[in-house]
Amino acid sequence: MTDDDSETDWMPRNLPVVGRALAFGPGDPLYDVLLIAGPLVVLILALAGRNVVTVALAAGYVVGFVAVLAYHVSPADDRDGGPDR
Amino acid sequence: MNDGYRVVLRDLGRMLQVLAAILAASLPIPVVWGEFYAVPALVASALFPLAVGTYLKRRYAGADDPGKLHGMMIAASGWFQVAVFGTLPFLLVSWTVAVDPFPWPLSVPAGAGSETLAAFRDPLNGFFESMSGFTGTGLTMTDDEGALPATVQWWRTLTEWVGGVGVIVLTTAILARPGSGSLTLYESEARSEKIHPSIVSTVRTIWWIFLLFTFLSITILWLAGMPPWDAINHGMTGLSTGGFSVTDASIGEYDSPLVDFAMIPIMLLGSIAFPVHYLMLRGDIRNLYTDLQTRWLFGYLALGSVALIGLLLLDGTYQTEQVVLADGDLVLNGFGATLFQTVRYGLFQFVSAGTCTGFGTTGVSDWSAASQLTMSFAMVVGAAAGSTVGGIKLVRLATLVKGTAFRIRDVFYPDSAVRYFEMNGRRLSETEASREFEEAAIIAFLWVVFLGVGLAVLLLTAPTGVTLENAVFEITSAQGNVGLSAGITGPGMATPAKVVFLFNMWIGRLEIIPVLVLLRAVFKRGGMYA
Repeated sequence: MTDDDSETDWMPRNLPVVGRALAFGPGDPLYDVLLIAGPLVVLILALAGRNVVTVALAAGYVVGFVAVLAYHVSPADDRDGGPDR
Repeated sequence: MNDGYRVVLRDLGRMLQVLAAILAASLPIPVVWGEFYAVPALVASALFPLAVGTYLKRRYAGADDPGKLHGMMIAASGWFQVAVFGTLPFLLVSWTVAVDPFPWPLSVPAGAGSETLAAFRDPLNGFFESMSGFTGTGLTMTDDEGALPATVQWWRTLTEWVGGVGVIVLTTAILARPGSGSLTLYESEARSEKIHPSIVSTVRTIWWIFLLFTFLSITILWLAGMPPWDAINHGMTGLSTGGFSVTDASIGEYDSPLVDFAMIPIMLLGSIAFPVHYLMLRGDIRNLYTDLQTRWLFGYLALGSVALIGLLLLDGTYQTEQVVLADGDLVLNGFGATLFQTVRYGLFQFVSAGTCTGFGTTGVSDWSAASQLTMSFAMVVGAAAGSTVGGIKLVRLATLVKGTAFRIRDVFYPDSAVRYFEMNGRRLSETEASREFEEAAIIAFLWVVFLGVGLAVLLLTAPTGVTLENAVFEITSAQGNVGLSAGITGPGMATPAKVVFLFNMWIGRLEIIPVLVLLRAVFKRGGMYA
């Protein structure tokens, strides 16, 4: 624990279950979001069934992954800051 | 007791504890599906390996850290014992349904039983299914997967998914050794060693990539039109290139070109080396064409698919008068319809075979011998080392092809010429190159020998009517951990054939040598040859 922890308590990395999951994750905020959102998306698709909203949600998840990948591929991205563990 | 055995038994205990945890984590499935009668079976299936695993771990807690030899023995014996204990859910659920021993609410509802579930009352059938799952093969003892309880469907899926992660960890972290191909490819100076230098962080990285791809696969399949439960199961077994299905006709059940084409990139994801996935996710997308195995994978799948489609066209296997697509907005007639159907089935089946997945969209037992043998070739080769596939792996095929050409060209150079063998942009020393050739040649040789043994037993025990190409197809499917079937595998198969298939699946997953090392250690240290 450091003195700065109180200022970052709200961050997902500091939450009990999510934080532990992220400790095994990519160490990249964008992939972290996709990893944490994955089971929620699948759960919503299973419970809510097929409708406009869930189709948009599923499509958004896939597009989101492609966008994150494209972001990391772009020359402007600092590769050293990419997912690592 | 020999110190080596202590190390192995301690780690086997740990593996059993993990298996127990996986079984315990599956408990919500029977609850969600209202299959309460399966809960005691799952609990008992988890408690037994937990008890044995805890005993072994505590009994040999003081054992040394494992070395390379132990790693091989732990991998070989671990896969076998996990398959043995993984039999329990099949056995206990099927007997629970048969005996119905519990009062309400754990009683078995009417209609829960089926002939296909009853096959698992035979422990050998359950063991076959478990071994097929954990080795990512996908050959099955069920006649109708759709009639199985959701709990059993889930356990089949989970065995393949866990087995898929396991084999990546095995090849990239534990058994990566000089001459094993994956080490040469991913240890070069220009790349990160394996995925990371430490095994623990390698495993963590594999996990997050595998999880991310799993969610992505499920979502893609759901978008393509699969029901949620089907998408979850097929997403998991597709990515792990296992091939177990929750429907009777595998992916062919949906009769949807969109689902077929959506499944292809998922199978491809599972067949690309995970160190390459890692580099690509970091933004180094050039690996799609700079990595030797990935380049060869796309090339060989493209060429093989074209060859298979050509053969199917020549044979007139899918003569079709009309195909209606996009809810009637697009109608193909005559040759266009035939071409579309042939491309659709040929492409899917070759990718399914080449990536060692084993999903089917059409029957193959009535295909011509040339078509079946083209598929058999794909199943022997497999795809990239460091992925979830079986087969001898592309890196070894590349080593054998390039190495043979290198040796032949060598004759034309003067003795004083200094030449280097290059693999994946890396110059290998004479010793490294020899080690690579040797390993590739030994694996290929052993592969053919054990295929021959399996083929002989299968032909001796198969019922009349099974052709040679059917038998070759089936045994390469088993040893290549593919799962496509020419209709031979099933509960009615002769017991010797089942036993040989179990052995072929086991050695195929572990690339033969660790199993031979284990057997030698057991026979020699066990006193049989001492």
